[in-house]
Amino acid sequence: MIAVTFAVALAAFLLFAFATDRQHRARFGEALPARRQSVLRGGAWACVAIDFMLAVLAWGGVFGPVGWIAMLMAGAAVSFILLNFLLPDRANRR
Amino acid sequence: MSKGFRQSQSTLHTWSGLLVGWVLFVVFVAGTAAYWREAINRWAQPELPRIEDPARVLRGEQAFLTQRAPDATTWFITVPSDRSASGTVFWVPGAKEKPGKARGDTLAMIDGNGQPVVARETRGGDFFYRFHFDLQYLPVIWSRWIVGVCAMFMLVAILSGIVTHKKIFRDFFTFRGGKGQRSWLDGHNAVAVLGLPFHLMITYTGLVTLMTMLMPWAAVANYRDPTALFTELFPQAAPVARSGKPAPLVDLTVLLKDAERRLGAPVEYIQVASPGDAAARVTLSQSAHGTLSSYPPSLSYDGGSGRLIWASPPAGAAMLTAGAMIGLHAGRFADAPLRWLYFLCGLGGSIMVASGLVLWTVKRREKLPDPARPHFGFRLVERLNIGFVAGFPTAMVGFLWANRLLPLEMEARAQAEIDAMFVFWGALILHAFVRAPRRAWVEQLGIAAVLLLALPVYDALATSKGLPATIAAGDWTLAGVDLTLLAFGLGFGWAARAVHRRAPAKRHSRARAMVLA
Repeated sequence: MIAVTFAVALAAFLLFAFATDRQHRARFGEALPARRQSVLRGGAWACVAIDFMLAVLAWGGVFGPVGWIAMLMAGAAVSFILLNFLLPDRANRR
Repeated sequence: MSKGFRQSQSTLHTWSGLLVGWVLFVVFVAGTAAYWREAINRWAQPELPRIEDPARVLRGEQAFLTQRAPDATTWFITVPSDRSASGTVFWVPGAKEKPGKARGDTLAMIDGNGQPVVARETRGGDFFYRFHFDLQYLPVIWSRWIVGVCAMFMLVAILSGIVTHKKIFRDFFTFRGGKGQRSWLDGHNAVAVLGLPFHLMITYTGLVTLMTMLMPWAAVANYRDPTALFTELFPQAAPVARSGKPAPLVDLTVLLKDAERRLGAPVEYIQVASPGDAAARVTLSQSAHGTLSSYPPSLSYDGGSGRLIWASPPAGAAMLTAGAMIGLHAGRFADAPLRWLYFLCGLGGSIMVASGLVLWTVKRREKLPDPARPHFGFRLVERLNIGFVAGFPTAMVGFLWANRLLPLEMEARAQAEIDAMFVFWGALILHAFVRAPRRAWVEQLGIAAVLLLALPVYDALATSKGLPATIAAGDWTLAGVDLTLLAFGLGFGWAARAVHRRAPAKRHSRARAMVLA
């Protein structure tokens, strides 16, 4: 359950990142259309909300919110490392 | 937001961070290590058997105290968990007994077999925990004021940093490597923003842990007698006088089982008033491992019959809030995954402070009229950065080596470990001032890497708790310590290499600049 909580938090921040023009261009090599930006942001916020429920299921009502914030930070940190150091930058390669 | 306001916040951020940055770094690093306090305690005493049955230790603690301090006024007993190194007992001598000269005279450790501990004397992880708010060699009250004031500066630095960082969301995922000052700024922003909820929480709740010292006025204005406040905040069963009639004490493991059933959580502390007397009273307090609040409830039993006579009332909203904040700070409730996240966040906070300190020099180096001869303030900050950012973690590893290398039977060994760490740190600070800065960075980071990588090797060769043994036994607490030391060793090695590899380019450009001049 904790691994799933982490995966959803990571997905949330990857979606937030892809919803920015700079990261979208770097990953997909093209500009970000406005409609896709809304869809990506919506998906990211949905993941954040689902992650809260997963964290409460994993840690209970008292510790769940703490675990949720911790997982969001971990998801943000891992997405930062992935985007800047591990995934290829298609915009700069061109 | 006006440019003038943001600029003023930027200046506030720079100076509130720099002036206390070195103390903050030390507090952050030691506090982060303290999240593994119990694991380091176990690692620091490899002679001790692993605790598999806490009730067995409690039986040993009761037997020890019955034999050693039967007429004591009060016994204080720590019930260990399977993460603890040992159980601890402490007693207040009775009227018939001479008071102990030193704290150690009325203190003992009981191992996993229920026997008095025969192991090296050490403070282990407890040292890092106490050091992160009590510092060392200073009166405790001064240390707490220093740490408290620094934490206030930290809160100011965080809040002004948020205002200063214009594109906090737009640049959330941005890191531009290999661009000097821009890369340092991106790195500093990244560790600050990614862990922002933690940094805000840990700083604010850290101040809450010191609130009665920092803001005593409400208590002073309302309570003439400080004990009245204490009694109201931490209610206890009414005290009883010793009756003078000897009576055997009930088996504490029976009370432990009953209290844990009633509380629905493990018990961590037991206090026995008037042991061996008919009026004996046993109070059991819930462990902070099972609750968010640092002020968990207690139950009191009659020491002769084992009958429950008192239960602490539900905490009020203010106590619950304070307890939850302090609980959030200490993270005692955290299971292994959450504890790792706490640890990583603490690491992020340490890197945030360190990168902010280094950024101060990176930013100003470009504006120096003569980079070969910087002014005194710049040199001081640069050298202190090396002595603290590279030197303090290296000295902490020195503490761990002192734990392994000092003679086992040495007098005042625990204090000698601490002294060794500070002597080593002093030497590293001196080294930072006498060597060329870049060489000093490389050498200190390199020393840390070598010492860290060698520790698990030493453990495997010289103790019975090396990595192969602990992994084979499934003892992931001890194995985790050695694996973490290895990981840090690789990290420090990488950092030393990175700084070293940048050195020739810098020298080259300087030489070229001289040729061109």
